[in-house]
Amino acid sequence: MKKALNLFRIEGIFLKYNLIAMLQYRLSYFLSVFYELFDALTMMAYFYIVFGSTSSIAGWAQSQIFTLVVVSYFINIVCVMLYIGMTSIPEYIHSGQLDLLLLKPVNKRFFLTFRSPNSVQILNFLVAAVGIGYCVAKSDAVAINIICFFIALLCSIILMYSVMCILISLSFWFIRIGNSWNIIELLNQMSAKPKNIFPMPIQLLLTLFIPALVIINNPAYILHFQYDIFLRQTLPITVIFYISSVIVFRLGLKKYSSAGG
Amino acid sequence: MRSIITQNLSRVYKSPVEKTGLARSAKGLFRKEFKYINAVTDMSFCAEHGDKIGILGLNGAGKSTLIKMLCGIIAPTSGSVVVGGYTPFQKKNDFLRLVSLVAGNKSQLNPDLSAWDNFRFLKSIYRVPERQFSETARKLTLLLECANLIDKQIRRLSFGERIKMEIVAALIHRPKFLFLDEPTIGLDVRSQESIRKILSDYCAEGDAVLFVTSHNLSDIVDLCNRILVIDGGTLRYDGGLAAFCAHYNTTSEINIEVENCTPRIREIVAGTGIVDCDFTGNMIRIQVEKTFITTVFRELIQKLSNDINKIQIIEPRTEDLLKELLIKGKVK
Repeated sequence: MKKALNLFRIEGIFLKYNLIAMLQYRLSYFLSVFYELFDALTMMAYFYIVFGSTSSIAGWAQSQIFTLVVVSYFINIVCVMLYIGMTSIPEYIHSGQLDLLLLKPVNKRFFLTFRSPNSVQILNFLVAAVGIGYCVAKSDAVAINIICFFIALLCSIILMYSVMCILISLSFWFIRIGNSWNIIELLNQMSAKPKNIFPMPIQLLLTLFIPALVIINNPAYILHFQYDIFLRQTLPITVIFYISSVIVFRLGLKKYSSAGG
Repeated sequence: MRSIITQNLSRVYKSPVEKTGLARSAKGLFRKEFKYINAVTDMSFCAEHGDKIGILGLNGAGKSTLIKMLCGIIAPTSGSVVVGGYTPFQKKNDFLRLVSLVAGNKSQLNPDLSAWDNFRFLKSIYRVPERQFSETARKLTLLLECANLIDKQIRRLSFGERIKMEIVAALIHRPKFLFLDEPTIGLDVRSQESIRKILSDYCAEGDAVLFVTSHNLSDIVDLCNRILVIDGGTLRYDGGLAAFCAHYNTTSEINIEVENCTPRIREIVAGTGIVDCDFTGNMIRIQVEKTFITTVFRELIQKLSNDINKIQIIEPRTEDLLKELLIKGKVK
């Protein structure tokens, strides 16, 4: 408990100093706030254009698919706000800058993945949170579905973090891994559609290997349809990916040999 | 009390064999070859509180690798290292609060924040009490003559100013083990002096252990009371700087200024049991073994008393001696 509180304290420090740094660059500040918002608005526009010609897609009604879009937006914002900074790790490894970061008396995984949050996204986070609240209020879900929905949402955040962490940790071995994490964003966009429209092999791929459907689809499915998928899929897959990410990161750190001998 | 103990410390790097040309590079996509490099081999030494140790060696000797193992960035391949009772590579938070690393070519400061915000960030991370933080930051910035720059963004500072801020940042939490990798690289003479003074005072006050690697030998001479000389990853010498100089400095130089350097004078000089001599105009530089210096000096005075304008014995500067020994690889 004490350790967890300390991590919250440190995350608060990261957010504070990141906000101070971001406020030095006014244009960048406004652009980063509005970029994600425009992205969400584009998705909304697309959503309403599609539903101008049909009332349901693969058995999902308009309000249910709206939840999918909002969940996708919410997860994306949390990722950008809290742990998108981990994409700098390959550069730190390549330049040897990681040396100095490893000497800070903070949990290494936490420090490296959360140290560069995007504090200004708090505004988008609030918009997304209101969207989530709206979806829940508009749904006919019973209490158990709503509870499982929020826990599934938390699992999605953890799962997204774990998948990114595994991909980024590969840079301990391969140093240059390109922008391989962008694949997650692509798959998340793809997964913001009812999973029934995908053929079974694709569903399996996007559930077990790159769990984009679990991240985006499952929370909405739990809210509007059946909550038992939470125990059958969301929870075990989250636990497996989280543990895997811890192991891969630890092995990566052990492998780290610094730059420049 | 021994605060650092290393025993048979070794580090081997596995490094890919670089391929040249398109065909070989393409082949490397399918079959990667590796070579093994012994960066540090079988190194054993101890350090006590208050030790100020200079690590000397040419490029690629293993100095930085040794420092990285001592502060826990990389793990030894074999052997053991204990720093302040901890195994560094385990990176326990209590251990990390005791150490600090300054690398001249790397920065721990966020370039988008001011120096002051960077210091406050570190204060929060290291949980430094407010009073201690204010005192340390104020004192160090004043001594380093950079107090007027603390509100400036790091990226707007000159290189020398940034290094000064790095030094302050490294000392904010008052570490007991301070590792400096080329701390004065690219600095002007005045900045070098002030940084050396700060570091020297800091070690004297806090009884901290200091490790310095630097190609600027003045850093070593001014700061350190002990040196480790490394060559090809092997420890060649471990001991006091003065003892090192006494041991390896086997010759002295006699400089003579004469009216006219005649063949007679050359003949007399050549017959005095010298190691080496150089005639330039009316100046004669003679290298003599230390054990014979008095005899040779006396003999020269007797035989050339009418020809000499000026004669003096020159002891080499420690920096020059170290440089010569390192370049010629004489430390065995």
